[in-house]
Amino acid sequence: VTRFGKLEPDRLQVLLLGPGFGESVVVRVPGDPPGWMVVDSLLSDRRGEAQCAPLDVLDHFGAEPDLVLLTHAHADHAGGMASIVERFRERSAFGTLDLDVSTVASARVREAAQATEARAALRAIAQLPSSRRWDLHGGTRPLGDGTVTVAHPSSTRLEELLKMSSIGPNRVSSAVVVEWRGRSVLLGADLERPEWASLLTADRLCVCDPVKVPHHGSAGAFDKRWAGDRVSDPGNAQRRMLLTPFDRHPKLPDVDDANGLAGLLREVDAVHLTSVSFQTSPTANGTLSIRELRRARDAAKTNRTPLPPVLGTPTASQVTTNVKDAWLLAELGANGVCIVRGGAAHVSLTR
Amino acid sequence: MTALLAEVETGGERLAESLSSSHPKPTTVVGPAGTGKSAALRHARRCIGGHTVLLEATDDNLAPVALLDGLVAGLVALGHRLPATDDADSDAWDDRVRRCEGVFRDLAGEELVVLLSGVERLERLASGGGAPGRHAGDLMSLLQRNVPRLGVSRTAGGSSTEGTVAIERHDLGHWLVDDEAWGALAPAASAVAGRGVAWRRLPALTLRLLVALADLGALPDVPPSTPLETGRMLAVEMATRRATRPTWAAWQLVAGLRGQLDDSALDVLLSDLPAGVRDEELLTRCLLFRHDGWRMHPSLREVVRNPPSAVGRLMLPPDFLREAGRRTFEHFHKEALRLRADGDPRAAAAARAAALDACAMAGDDALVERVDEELPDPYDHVGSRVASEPNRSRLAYEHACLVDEDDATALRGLADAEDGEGIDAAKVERLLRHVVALEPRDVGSHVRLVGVLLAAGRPHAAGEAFDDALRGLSGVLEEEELARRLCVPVVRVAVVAGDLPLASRAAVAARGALGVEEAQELNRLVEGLVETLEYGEFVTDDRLGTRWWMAPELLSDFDVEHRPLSRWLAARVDTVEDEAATIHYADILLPAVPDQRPERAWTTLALADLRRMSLDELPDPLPGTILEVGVYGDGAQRGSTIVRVVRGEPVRLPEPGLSLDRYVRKAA
Repeated sequence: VTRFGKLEPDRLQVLLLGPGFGESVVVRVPGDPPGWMVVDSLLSDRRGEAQCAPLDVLDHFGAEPDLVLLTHAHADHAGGMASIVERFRERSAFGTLDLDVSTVASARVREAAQATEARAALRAIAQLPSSRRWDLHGGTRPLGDGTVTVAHPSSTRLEELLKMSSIGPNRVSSAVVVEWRGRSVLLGADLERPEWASLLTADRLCVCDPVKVPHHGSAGAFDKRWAGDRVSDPGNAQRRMLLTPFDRHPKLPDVDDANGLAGLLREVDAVHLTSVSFQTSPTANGTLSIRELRRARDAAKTNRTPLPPVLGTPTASQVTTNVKDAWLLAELGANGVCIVRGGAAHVSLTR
Repeated sequence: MTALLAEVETGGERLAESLSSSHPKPTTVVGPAGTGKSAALRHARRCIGGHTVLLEATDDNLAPVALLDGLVAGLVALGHRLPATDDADSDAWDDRVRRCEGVFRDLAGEELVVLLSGVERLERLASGGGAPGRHAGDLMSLLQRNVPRLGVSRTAGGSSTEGTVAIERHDLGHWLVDDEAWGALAPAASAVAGRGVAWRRLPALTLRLLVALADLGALPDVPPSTPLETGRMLAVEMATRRATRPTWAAWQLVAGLRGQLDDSALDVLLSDLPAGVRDEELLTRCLLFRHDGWRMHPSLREVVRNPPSAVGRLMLPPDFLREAGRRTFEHFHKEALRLRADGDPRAAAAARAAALDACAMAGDDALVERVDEELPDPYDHVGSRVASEPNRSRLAYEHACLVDEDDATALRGLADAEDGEGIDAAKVERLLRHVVALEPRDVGSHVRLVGVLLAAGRPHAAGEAFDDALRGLSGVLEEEELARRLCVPVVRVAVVAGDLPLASRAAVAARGALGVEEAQELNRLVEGLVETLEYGEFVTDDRLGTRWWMAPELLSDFDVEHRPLSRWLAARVDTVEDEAATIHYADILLPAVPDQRPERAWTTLALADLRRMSLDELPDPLPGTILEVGVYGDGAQRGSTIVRVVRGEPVRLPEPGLSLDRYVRKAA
C-alpha cells in the first residue's frame, strides 16, 4: 500500500477522495473483521476505461464494503455508483433515500434524480432485494466494532422536505455519524444550513472529529452545530475538518465569504483540503494561510490577459484535479488522537 | 378386441367393458380416418369413470409437450400430487417426466387407465429426430413402462405396432375383401386374404404392401416380419420392373417431404414423372394413405433413406430431385404466404415446414434463407399472435423451448416476452446469453443483452457483453455493418442508461466507419455529454463535443472599425440577481489551439452593460442563455466588446425502446 501508506489496524480511518469529478469517502472501522463503508462515488474519467475511485481504493486494500451509501442524487456523488452496486450486490447493504420522485414537490430534486448518472445509480440500488437496501431516513447500522447513524433526514423532516417546492437535492442529502469506542465522525454530505438546525442530534455533532465538511465548504452549509464554537470550547480548535473542493460554480470552498472557510477557521485551527479548485501561482500545497491562498488566487488572475473592465472581474481559472493526487486520510485512535495526511495536492489551510 | 366404429358409443362401451373387466387386456381401436375413434375413447372414459386420463395428440411438434401437460393435469385432477425432485437445475422436460414417473410408481397396483388418441402422430415425431422426436419417444416410453392398460387409437390402417404397446392382432379379412377399398387391386387383396388368418392378422401397413407385391406377382411364401422389410421387398420389385419404375420414382419423391400433401402439392411434386403415375393405384392405395391429405408412413420413407442395395443404381438422379425440390418449394412457399395472409397460422406453419423439406430436397441454401426472410418461424408466429397477451406469449415460447431447448427463435421470443414484462432480469440475461451462444452472429440479441444488463444496473457486465460481441463479430461483419448494427445501438442505450464510459467506447469503436452518419452524430452526442459533465456547457447542444473553441458561431472576424477579433468568450448565463448577470465562460485567445481546451472562469457584469453590448435581443428568462462575447482590438480604448445571443435547437437523447426503469418498477 504505497499510495496511502499502511493502515493502522486499531484505528478508524476516513479516506476522502476527490475531486476528480466528484467526492467519495471510504471509512474503515476496526473490528474482527473490520467494517468498511463507502459514502458516494466519483469517476476519474468518463471516457473509455473509466475508473471508479472508491473501487480502486477497495481493491487497493483488498476490502469489501459492508455499507455503501449514496447521500444524494448529484452527479459528483453518484458517478460510478452503479459499478459499486454491481460489484458488491451480493455482499453489501446499500443506503439511499428511497423516494418516489413523482411525489416530490421540488422540480430540482425530481430533475436531479432523473439526470443520467444519478438515475443509473438509483436504478441499480432500487433493484436490490429489500434485505440489501437501507432507506436513509433515520436508523443505525453496525459497522465493524462501531455504528453508523443517519443524522439527516429524519422521517418527520423528510415528510416536510418533500412538500417544499423550492429546495435542491442538497437539502435532502444524507448526513451520517460513525461512532466507535466513544469517538464519532461526521460525514456531512452536501447538507446545507437550514437542515442542520432541524437535527435533533445537533448536540452530538460538535464533538465529531474528524468532520467531512458539508457541501465542500460552502457558506450556505456552515453552521456552528457541526463546526463547534472555539469560544465556549477551546478544544474545538483542534478538531480535524476534511474538505473536497468543488470545481464548478459556485467554486467551493468559499474563500471570501465570512461564512465560508473564514468562518470555519474562526472555530478551528486548520481545514484540510484534498486540493484547491483553482489555478494558483505559485502552486498551492502544504500549509497555507487563507490570506496566502487568496493572494495566490489573485496572482493567478493577474497572469491572465485581463478582460475589458466592462466584463467585470472574473474568478481564477478553474482546474480539474487528478484524483490520484487529491485525497486525505484521517486516522483516529480510540484515545482521540487523529492524524491526517494527504496526497500531492493536499493543502492544510490555517487562519 | 376390434371396434370398427359404425356406432361411436357402442365402440366406446365395448372398449370400456374390456378395460374394466376383471381380466383387462391391452386394447386398441382401429378404423379409417373420421370414423370417431377419439369420440369412442371419450365415451369409454365416461363409462369407466374417474380413474381415467384421456390424452389426444395434436399434429405438430408441440404434441408431446401438450400431452405431458395433459397427463400431469389429469393426474393432479385425480388427486395425485407430483413429487418434487431434488435436482432443481435439471432440464425442465426431463424433470416433468421424472415427476410423472414418480406418480406412476406410487400408483403401482391401483387402477389407472390412460386413453391415448393419435399415437401414430407421436410415432411419426419419434422417428423424426430432434428435440420433438426425443420428447415423443420419452413420452411413449413413459406410458409403456408405467401404464399396463393403454388404450391406443389409430387412424387409418398402416401403423406399426413395433415398440409401442402390446396390442392384439386383428383379423382384417373384411377389409381385404372390401372391393371398394381396393379398386383395381381387389384381386390382389383377396389373394392376400386367402393366405389364411395369420396373414390377415398382420399389421395393416404390411398388408397394404403385400397387396402391392401380390399385384406385381411377387407375393412371398412367408410373410415378412416387419413392415419395413416388406417395404424393402416391394422397393426392389418396383425399381427393377420398367413398368413400375415411375411409381418407385414417385415413392422417392414423396418420401422427401414429411407431413401431409394435398392433391395439388402431389401434382406439382410428381409433374416430371410420366402421366398416369399420379393416379397409379399402387401409389394411392398401397404406398400412401389419406388422412388430412396424402401421407406416407415413416417406414416407407426409411426405405428410401436406406434403400436395398439392389436398387442403389436405380435411385433418382440428384438433379431430378433438386428440380422437384425447387418446384415444390415454390408451391409451398406460395401456399404458406397465402395461408398466413388468410389468417390460418397452423396451416401456414405446416406449409412452411413442407417448404423447408423441399429446400432440403433441392439442396439450395438460398431457398432456406428466403424462407427465413419471407416467412416467420412458426414459433415467432405463435409469439406474435399473442404478443398483446404477455402471459400467453411467454407460455407459447416456453412450450417451444421445451420442444427444443436450443431453439434460438423461441429463446429470443421468450427473452423478449420476459424483458417486456420486466420481472426477472437475470432470467432474460440467461436466455439472451443462450441465444448468442447458439447464434453468435445475432447482432440484435447482443445489443439486447447489453441493454438488459444496463437496465439491471450492471454496467461492468454490460461492458463485457459489448466487448465480447465486438470481438466475436469483428471480421464476421463489415466494419460499417458492425458500427451500424452493434455500436450505434449500444451507444444509444448506454447514453440513456447513463453509462457514458460504455457509450464512449462504443462510439470510438464506430468511429472508424466514417460512412455512418448516425454513428458520428452519436459519437458527438457522447462527447457533448461528457464535456457538459466534466467541463461545463458553453455552447449550444449542437456544438458540444466538437472543437467549438476554434471559432465562434456568430461573431464576425472584425468589428465596424475593422478591428480584428482577438479574443472571445463562449459563455452561459448562470444567474441574474440585482440587475447583474453571472456568466460561466471559456476564455479563448486567438488563434485557438485545437487540442487545448480553453480555461474556464466566472464573472459578473451589469445587465445594462450586457444589453448595450448585445447585437441581439436578450431572451427572458436569461439564465441558461448561450452567449458569444467578442473582444475586438484590445477591447478597451482601442477596441470594442460585442455580445451575440446564440440560439440552438436542443438535442434530444435517444429514445430507448423499453424503459430503462422496467426492472425498477417490478423490484419496487
